[in-house]
Amino acid sequence: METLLQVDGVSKIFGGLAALSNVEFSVGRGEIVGLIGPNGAGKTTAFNVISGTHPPTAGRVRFKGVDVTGGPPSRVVRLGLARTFQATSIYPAVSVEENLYRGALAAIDTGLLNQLLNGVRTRQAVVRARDNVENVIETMGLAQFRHTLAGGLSYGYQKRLGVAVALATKPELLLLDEPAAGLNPEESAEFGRLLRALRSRMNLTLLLVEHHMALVMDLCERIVVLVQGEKIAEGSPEQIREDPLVIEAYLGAPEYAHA
Amino acid sequence: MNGATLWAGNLDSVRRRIAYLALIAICAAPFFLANAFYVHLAVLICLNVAIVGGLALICRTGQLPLGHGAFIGLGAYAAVTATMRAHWPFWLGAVGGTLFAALLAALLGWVILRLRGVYFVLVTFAFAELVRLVMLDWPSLTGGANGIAGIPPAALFGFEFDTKVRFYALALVLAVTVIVFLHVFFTTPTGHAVDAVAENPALAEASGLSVHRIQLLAFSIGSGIAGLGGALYAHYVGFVSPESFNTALSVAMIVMLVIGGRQSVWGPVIGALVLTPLPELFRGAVQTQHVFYGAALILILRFLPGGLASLLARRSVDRASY
Repeated sequence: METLLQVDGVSKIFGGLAALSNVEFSVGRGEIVGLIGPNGAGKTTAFNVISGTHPPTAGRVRFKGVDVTGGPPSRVVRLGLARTFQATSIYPAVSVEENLYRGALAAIDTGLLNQLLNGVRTRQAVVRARDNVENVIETMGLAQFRHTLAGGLSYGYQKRLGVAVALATKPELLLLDEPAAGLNPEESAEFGRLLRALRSRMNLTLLLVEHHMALVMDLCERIVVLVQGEKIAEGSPEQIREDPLVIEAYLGAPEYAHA
Repeated sequence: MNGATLWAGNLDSVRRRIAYLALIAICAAPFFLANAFYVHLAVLICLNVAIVGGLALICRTGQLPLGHGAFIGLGAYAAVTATMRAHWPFWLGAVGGTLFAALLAALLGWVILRLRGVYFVLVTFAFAELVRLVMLDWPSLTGGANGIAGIPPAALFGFEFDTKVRFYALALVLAVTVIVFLHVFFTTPTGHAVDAVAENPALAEASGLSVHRIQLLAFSIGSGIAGLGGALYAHYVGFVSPESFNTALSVAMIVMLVIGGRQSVWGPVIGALVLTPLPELFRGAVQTQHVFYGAALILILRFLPGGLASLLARRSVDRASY
C-alpha cells in the first residue's frame, strides 16, 4: 500500500512542556486511521503540526513524499491534505452553497486580471468549482439547505457542513478533529456510515481524532494511541483493545472510555 | 410565477430605474450648476468616493488601517514630484503616484498584515505619522511645512482640466471607475475569497486560501487607489502640505466608510455624499463638527452596523423573501 502521510519523529514543545515527543506513524492510501488518547495527549497538536498550522520543534511531516513541515496551511491544502476543526468551523453569515464555494475557491488559480475580465479560463475554472460544489452538496446530503444561512443550521448539520467545506477542497487525505463530538449515538452512527461512504465515493483517506470509542472501534482499520505526547501503541482495533499499555493508560479507566 | 410576484418584480425594476435615473441626475447636476462652490463640493465628493472605495476594499478583508491618509499623501507627493521636478505628463505622474502608494503598501503590508485587530490599527497609525514627519523634515524634496504650491492643473492629451467643471468630469470618471471596479471585483473568485478571509480566517487558510496573500493584495490595491485620489487632489487644489494628510483625514475616511456601510459597494458613495459637505456646513463651529462625527459613529455602530447602505439592502432582502 502506498504511503500517503509520513510523520517522522515529530516533537512539539510549548514553553518547556512536550506536547508531542518523537511521534512516528504513517497513513496508507485508502485507510481509515484513528488517533486516540486521553485529554491532553497531544492529538489536536498533532493535527496542527500535520496541517501546517504549527511548525514542529523537531521532526518532519511528508505528504505524498513532499516535505510539508511547517506549512503554511494554505499550501498543504492545495497538495490535497485538508482538515476540519474541533470547534465547528463554518462561515455562519452566508448560505450553505456559498460556504462550499469558498471551500472550492483555491482550485481557481487564474490571475486577477483574467478574473476581472471574466476570461475563458476563469469561467471554465468557476464552472468546475460549481460542479464540485454540487457534487459535495449531493454526497453530504445538504441539498435541501442549499440557500439556508449556515449559522441557522442545527448543530449536527453545522458539523456536517464543516466536513463538507473541507471536502470541497478536493482532498486526498482528510483530517477530522472530533467529528462526532456533541452528536447523539444515533447521529454518530450515521456519521460513521457517511464517512465510510465518502471514502469509496471520493477515494478518500481518513485520519480522525475521536473520543467516541464505539465509533472509532467500528470505523477505523488501524489505531494510533497517544498518551502525554508519546505514541504508546499502534494496531488494529482488536490489538488496541487488548494492549495492556493502552488498558492501563486509557481504556482501563471506564470514565475515559465513555467520555 | 404568479401575478403578485410579477407585479412586485415590475415595481422593483421600476424603483431601481428611478434610483439609477436619480443617480445619473445627481452626477450630471454639477455640469449645470452656476455656483462654483457646489461644483467644488462635487469634485471633493467624487475624490472621496474613490478613496473611501479603496479603504472599503481593505476593510472587507477584516483589517482596518488607521493610516489611509498617508497613502493619499504619498500618491500626491509622488505625482507632484514627478510632474514638477521630472516634468512627467500629468497622467504618467498620476500612474506613478498610484504605483508608489501601492508599492509602499505592499512592503509595509508584507511585514504588518500578520498583526491582527488593534495591533494592525496602531502600526498603520504610527506609519502614517512617520510619513507625515518625513514630509515635514525633508524640505529639499517636499517643501517641508510650507508644502508645495503652484502645482499645474491636470491635463490629458493637451486638454487642460483647469476649471472646476472640467475637473469634475475627470473626478466623476475616477469615482465611477472605482465603484464599477469594486462591484466587479466582489463577483470574482478573489472577491469571494476576500469575504471568506474576513469572516473566518482560520477556515479560509485551511481551505487553501492564503490569508496573507489576499490581505496583501487588497491592502496594495486599496492604498494604490488612495494614492491615485491623492494625485488628482494635488493637481486639483494646486497645493499640498503635510497637514493636508494628517490623522484627521484618515479618521474622516473611516467615518465615511462606517457611516456609509462597510459591507456594500454603495457604502463609500453614500458615506462621501453625506459627509463631504458637512465640514462646510459646520464652518462656523468647527468643534461641533467633531462632536457630530463621534456621535454619528457611535449611533451607527450601535444601531446600524451595516451603515446607511444596509437600509437599501434590507429593503431589497425584504422584498426578495416574498
